[in-house]
Amino acid sequence: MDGLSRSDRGTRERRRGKTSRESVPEAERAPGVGARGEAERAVGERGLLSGHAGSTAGERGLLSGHAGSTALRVASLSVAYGNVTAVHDASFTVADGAACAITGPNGNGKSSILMGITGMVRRKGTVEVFGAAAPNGDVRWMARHGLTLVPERRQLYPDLSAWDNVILGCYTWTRSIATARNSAPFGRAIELFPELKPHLRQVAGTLSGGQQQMVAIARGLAANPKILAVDEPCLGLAEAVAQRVYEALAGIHADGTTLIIVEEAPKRALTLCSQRVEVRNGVTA
Amino acid sequence: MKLGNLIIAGVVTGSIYATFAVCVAVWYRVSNILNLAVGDFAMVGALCVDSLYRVRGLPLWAAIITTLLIVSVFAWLYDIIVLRLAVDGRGRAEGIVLTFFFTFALSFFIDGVAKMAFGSDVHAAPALWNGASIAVADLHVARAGILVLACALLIGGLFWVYIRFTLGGKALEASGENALGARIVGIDTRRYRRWIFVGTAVIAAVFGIVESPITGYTYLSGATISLTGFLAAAYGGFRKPGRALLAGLFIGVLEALLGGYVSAEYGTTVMYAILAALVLAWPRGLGFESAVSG
Repeated sequence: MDGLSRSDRGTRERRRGKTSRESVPEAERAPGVGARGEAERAVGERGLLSGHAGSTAGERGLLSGHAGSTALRVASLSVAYGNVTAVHDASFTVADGAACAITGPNGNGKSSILMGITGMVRRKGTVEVFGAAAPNGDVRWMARHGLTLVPERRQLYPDLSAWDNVILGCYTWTRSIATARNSAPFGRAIELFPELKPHLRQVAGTLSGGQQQMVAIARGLAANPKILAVDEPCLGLAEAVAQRVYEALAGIHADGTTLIIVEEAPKRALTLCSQRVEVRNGVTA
Repeated sequence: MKLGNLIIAGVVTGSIYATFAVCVAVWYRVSNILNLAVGDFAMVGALCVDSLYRVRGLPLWAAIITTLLIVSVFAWLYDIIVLRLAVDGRGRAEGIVLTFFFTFALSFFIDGVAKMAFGSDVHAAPALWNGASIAVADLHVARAGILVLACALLIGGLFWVYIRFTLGGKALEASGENALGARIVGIDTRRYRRWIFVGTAVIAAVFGIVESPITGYTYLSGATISLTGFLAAAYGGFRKPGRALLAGLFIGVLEALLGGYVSAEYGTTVMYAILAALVLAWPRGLGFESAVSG
């Protein structure tokens, strides 16, 4: 437990060290929470960034300059499936510790942006995570560098137990099941949804949709992400369950994890997110 | 004591089927491909050691190490050349073509090469543990049989511990269940596919070397072992190595009893008839339904 939390602190400190070099000198930097507050105020003043989303904010250094550091920078991202272009020239940045909603109608390329960023599909353009350029088409690199995806339709392992599903999230940073079991990220993931506890030994394929979504988010959290990207977390869920999911996401965000949420209906997402990237016909507006 | 001896012989043969079934089931769990060539690796193991030791005059240990090296390098090359193109390439194959075709073709390929290299006579690797069979009361156990059983227990136990108690084992299961979901948490599904394929090929070769003094192999023996191992794996729904292991043992004992009490000549035919009848009578219980419907 101790060993891991130490290493956990270590990675966060390394991250700070790295990002501080590439952004603002340490002396000028406001402390973490204050910096984020400043960013959010700045974003708030500009009316949520919808309309001229991310790229403008990024160019003006609104999110990257003042807000401590940039967690994710996407520039000229394009995703195509054969001849069909799903995303065209999308650019935006997300500040460290921010919560960003990617919204837009169904079939307009929201999920494709996320797929392109995480490397699930091939892309054009550049993606940087905490200043490091991400190789194209390498999901594992993303997972190891702190961006974890909770994908659409959850993508669980249906014949494995819920517990197995969650602990496999730890595979991004350890190969030892004992280390994983006793680690802080795994403990946090298991504690995230107390209502899931009686079902941890149940095979994931037999859980209800809401429970499966909880397992998927818990698996994402067990990966100890710095950025958690959640694709349509409430698709097909009852209102009460959807609220529960958002409560959990708010808790994860409050702990300092950067959130990216893809949602067709922006209303709920915007209760949590201070930044919005609107996607229309594969173009970020 | 005839019954006791038949059961012992059946358990020895069954443990081979069981190990091959486990190899098929574990690799299927990772890759969703059925390895129909696993028995051919056993045949190569036996005949290659025989050829290197008896014909070329290498010391036995050198012959065994060289053979295992050849098998593992060949399996590795097959994976990175053929399977990578077939599974990960742009024109990736899907469905039944992927499930059967590539390893079925590999089986024929290995048989053809083995016929050219080793001829079509019956050969066997030299016995690793010489001496008469061990007798307890009226029961007789061949020394090679004890080695086979020991290997089967060791390999079955290692697989069980690995899958049940390690994160790597769970990652292996996750790779086959949902490759996309596995990649999200950083699991290299291709590496698992490759190493389990190479690993099971080497395990098969070791079994060929250990077992061949009992039965003797020709270049065609691999296909028969593959078929029975494949059947046993099917009884475990291809995804349950534990069930596949029990099914393998059951088939071995059934084969021995039928050979002993019914007819040495038609024993195998009767056995396949019984196995087919069991599937028809109780498909869900035997896991066949999941094998077919995926």
